[in-house]
Amino acid sequence: MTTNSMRRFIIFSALVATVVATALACGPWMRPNYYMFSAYNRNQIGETYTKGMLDYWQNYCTEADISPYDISALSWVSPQIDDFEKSENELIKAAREKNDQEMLQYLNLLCSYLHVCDDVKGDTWSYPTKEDLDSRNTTMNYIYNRARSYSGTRLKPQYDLLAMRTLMIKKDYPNIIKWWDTRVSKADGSVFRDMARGIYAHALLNTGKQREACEIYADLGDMQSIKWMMQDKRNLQGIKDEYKANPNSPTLIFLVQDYVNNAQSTLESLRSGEASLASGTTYDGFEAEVQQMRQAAAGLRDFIPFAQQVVKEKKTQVPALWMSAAGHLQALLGNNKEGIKLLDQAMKLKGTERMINNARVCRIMATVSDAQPTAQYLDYLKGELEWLAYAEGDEYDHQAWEYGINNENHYSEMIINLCYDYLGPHFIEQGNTNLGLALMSWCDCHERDFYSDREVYAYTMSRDIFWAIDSLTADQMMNFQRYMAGKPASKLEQYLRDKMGPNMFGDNYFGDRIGTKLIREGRFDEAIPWLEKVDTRYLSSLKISAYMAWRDYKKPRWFNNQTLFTVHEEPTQVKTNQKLDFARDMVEAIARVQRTSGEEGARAKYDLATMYFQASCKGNCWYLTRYANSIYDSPLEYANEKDFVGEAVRLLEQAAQEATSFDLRQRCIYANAYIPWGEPFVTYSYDSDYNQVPHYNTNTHEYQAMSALADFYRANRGQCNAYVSRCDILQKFMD
Amino acid sequence: MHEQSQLATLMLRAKFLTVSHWLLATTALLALAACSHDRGVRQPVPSVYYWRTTLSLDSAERAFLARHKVGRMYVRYFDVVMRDGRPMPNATLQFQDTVPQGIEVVPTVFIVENCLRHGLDSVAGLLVDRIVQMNETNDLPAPREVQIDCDWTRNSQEAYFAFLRHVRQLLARRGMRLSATIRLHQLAMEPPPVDEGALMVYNTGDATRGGDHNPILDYRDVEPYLRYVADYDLPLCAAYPVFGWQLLFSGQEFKAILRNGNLQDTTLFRRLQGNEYLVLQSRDNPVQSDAGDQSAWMSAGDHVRVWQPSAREVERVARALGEQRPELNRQVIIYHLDNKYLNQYDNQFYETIYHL
Repeated sequence: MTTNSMRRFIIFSALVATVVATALACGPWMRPNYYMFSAYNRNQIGETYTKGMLDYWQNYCTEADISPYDISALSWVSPQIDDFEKSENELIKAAREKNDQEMLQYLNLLCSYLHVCDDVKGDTWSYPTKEDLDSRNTTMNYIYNRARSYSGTRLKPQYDLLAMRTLMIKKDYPNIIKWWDTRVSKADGSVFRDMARGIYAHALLNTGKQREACEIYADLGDMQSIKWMMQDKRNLQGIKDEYKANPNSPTLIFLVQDYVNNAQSTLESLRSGEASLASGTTYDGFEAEVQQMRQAAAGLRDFIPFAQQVVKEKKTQVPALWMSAAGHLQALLGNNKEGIKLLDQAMKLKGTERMINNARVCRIMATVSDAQPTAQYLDYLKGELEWLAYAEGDEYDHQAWEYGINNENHYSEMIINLCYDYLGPHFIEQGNTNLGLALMSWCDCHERDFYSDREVYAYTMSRDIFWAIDSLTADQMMNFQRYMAGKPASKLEQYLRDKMGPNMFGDNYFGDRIGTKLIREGRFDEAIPWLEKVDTRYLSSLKISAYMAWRDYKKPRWFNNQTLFTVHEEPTQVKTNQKLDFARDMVEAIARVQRTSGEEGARAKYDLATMYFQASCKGNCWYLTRYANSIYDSPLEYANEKDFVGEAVRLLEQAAQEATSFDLRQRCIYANAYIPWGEPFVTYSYDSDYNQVPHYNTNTHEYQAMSALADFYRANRGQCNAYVSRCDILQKFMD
Repeated sequence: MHEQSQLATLMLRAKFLTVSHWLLATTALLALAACSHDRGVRQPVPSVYYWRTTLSLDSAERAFLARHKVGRMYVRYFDVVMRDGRPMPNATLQFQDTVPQGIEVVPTVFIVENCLRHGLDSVAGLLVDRIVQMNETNDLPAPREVQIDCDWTRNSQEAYFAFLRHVRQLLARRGMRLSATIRLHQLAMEPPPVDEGALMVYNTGDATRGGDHNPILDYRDVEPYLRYVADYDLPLCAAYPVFGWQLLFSGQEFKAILRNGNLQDTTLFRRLQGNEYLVLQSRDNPVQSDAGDQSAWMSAGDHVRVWQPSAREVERVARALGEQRPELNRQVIIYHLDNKYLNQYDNQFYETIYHL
């Protein structure tokens, strides 16, 4: 685990137990590494007919917004005349309002059919009697006969489907096949015909014609059915067998995509295994297992010559599918140049538009690990980002989104993977931090605009850009600010900036960020001019404003824990910029320490220590130095962070020495003992009877500070304040 | 039958006893007869569980039933689960086939334990009526016995027993008996208010944990319960396992029970040692689930542990239980009738287990 991901993990683990400044949402660490290969739309899985059916009914019911519920709720409408005629179901209502008797008759029959289907499921307490079964059969026969005798043309697809459904309930497969062959096969395309064809495929399946059935499922895009049927063919041999039987079997699209995407996951698992091996977090036999995984992964390569052979044989109508799969697999196996070559070829071969687009996406992905910010590459990247954004818009199905049905967008996923997981971090690691940040920021901004989300992502913990910016030092952040304000060095950078617009990062954002980082690094005087640029209205929109409005960094943490019960971390109106006040107070407090001595000097040091500790990750006012907090944070969480806790300890030790008054000396010694700094003074193990066994570490600051407090108490037993004399931890320590 | 012949032998010997001994002997005989009758199930016969959602027997399964003279099938009719806040039937058996003539069908209902917290007593009548109706609709004779299967605990015992008392009363009015499954851990508790029990001698370990114990059946897991068997105050028969599991683990974390994972596919699995397989390729795979077709994600590097009790282990456990309570094995129920597993044990095993 890298330091960064370890940190994320720790923070994530601590979220439940700690107060955070920003919204709790699915963090970037939860984002899957999306499949890159997409020769067919994954939304087809499980949603084969839903959208077509919704489109049909939405088109019919012009006055209402139709949802999947309106269709499924038909089964609850009793086909009895009264109930049906008074039904508030949107579909029935629309037919009634149009006085569409033909449609009403069909809907009545459909309700009858759906009613019987619900009964057949049989999971109610009332189990059907023989008479009930007879009645069901009678109803089914009636529906079948009505469907058979329908002589109109307008609702013929619906009646054909209804007839085939009734035959399906009876498991009358020969008649389903006959019905399809004689009445439906030559009909025009519609969702009802597609559904009828699905029933026909089911009948074929049940009469021993599995291959034909599977091809129909593939053609219909019913990938769910194919997946179950092809369970034992999801390997290279299965693909070879299927190709041999029919080089243009629609099933091959599923099998090839499944194979390549599983290869992607397999190689990711292998990398994870290799990483565990390298870090030594293994068990006996693990190395041998990784070796077997390596061999198996190497076997994935066998697909490549086969796919090339398929293209060479020219029997397939979609060579682009095969060549892109070969190219993508080459790239996954680390042979990027060879992979790109094959993907370039794939884009020129015959295939569906989706297949050609898929080859293009795979090609972009194949370039990332060797990417250098040359003008040529950045120009290429600009073009591809523009195209990805276009393809994303093209794939976006507003209607499906409205219906609330599965609507994953492959191109959105690829944009996110490309910017957040590959190129952004890749450029940052190369030292091109600003370019990496700009790419990630663009991705953030693009997503926000695309999905009409108004949240400022750069302040939201769930986004990668939050963490990328959060981990920068003040100087790096100032560098990024200059970069964003300066002249773009490439067409790509110009494009990113144009798309982000001036509001992505404004003066408020940079002023607050840079000011906060400067405070964190102890550069209080430098922080002031940055923080002066920040509007309190802007601060009030941040969730940390809730803490700013209610907490006071001058109140000693060791006497008072400032909890936040009433505001629940919602943005709160603040009147002043507390970070600015803090920076100014710190400048003044440090100067006071430098110009005073004796009791007054000790008092100045105690006050400064109070502020240092409160602004540290352990204090109540942690929001002065960061945007999120965890109990697992250490005082040196960030690069260049000043050790505020250590500084407080140092000042308190000095103040305790210099103080002449009993009260101040007592406060300093007590505060020093309170502060958790360095290793804990006691750790515990368990004996064989599960009793806690304490182990004291006398070399720690905590132990020495507690000893000093104990000595002070023993020497001044009668005079000590209650916060010392009644301190249970001290009593336990002295015991 | 066995009890009667034992009784006859003892009576023959009794003829030669003196009158003074006669009274004592008679008392002892009556006690023995009563005791013997109470400890074993009525009319014991070789039996099987049928635990699928569709009643459909293939030729091999029919041949098995005939070959081993199976006289009783405990057929899972439906489950009772919480749905929409109330106990409801689920996964009702679809009758696509008939049970061979001469085999008694014992309708069996599995009740998910959390139903006990939601007033299950109110559905006792519905449950009995439904079972009776299922037989009637599907041309089966009225059942003579109904069996309830539930993994009840001390917390749910009171509700469960109240429910059983109610069901038993309703069945008795129709001349039917009630039996219940008894899990090993339940042997240490009060017996449920039923006419008979079927001791489930399988699922003895925790499938979600690693280790070398076979979670389906391991003598080491049964042994601690042996001491309770003899004195358990309920007529009992025994149910022994004939099935296997493919358990998918990621490290120590249990993921799923695979359904028909093709372990012979060397591009997908590699045998490590013993019952352990390494997953070589990441993909989703069908799993056993009550919620229909489900799949679990299998990552390269995951392990599959294959467990199936050996014939020897089943026999060892059965004999150990029989030593504690000989009547227990007079009726053995094989869990469960499924051709996929039946042929993985030889005839000798079934002959032995059915006639211990």
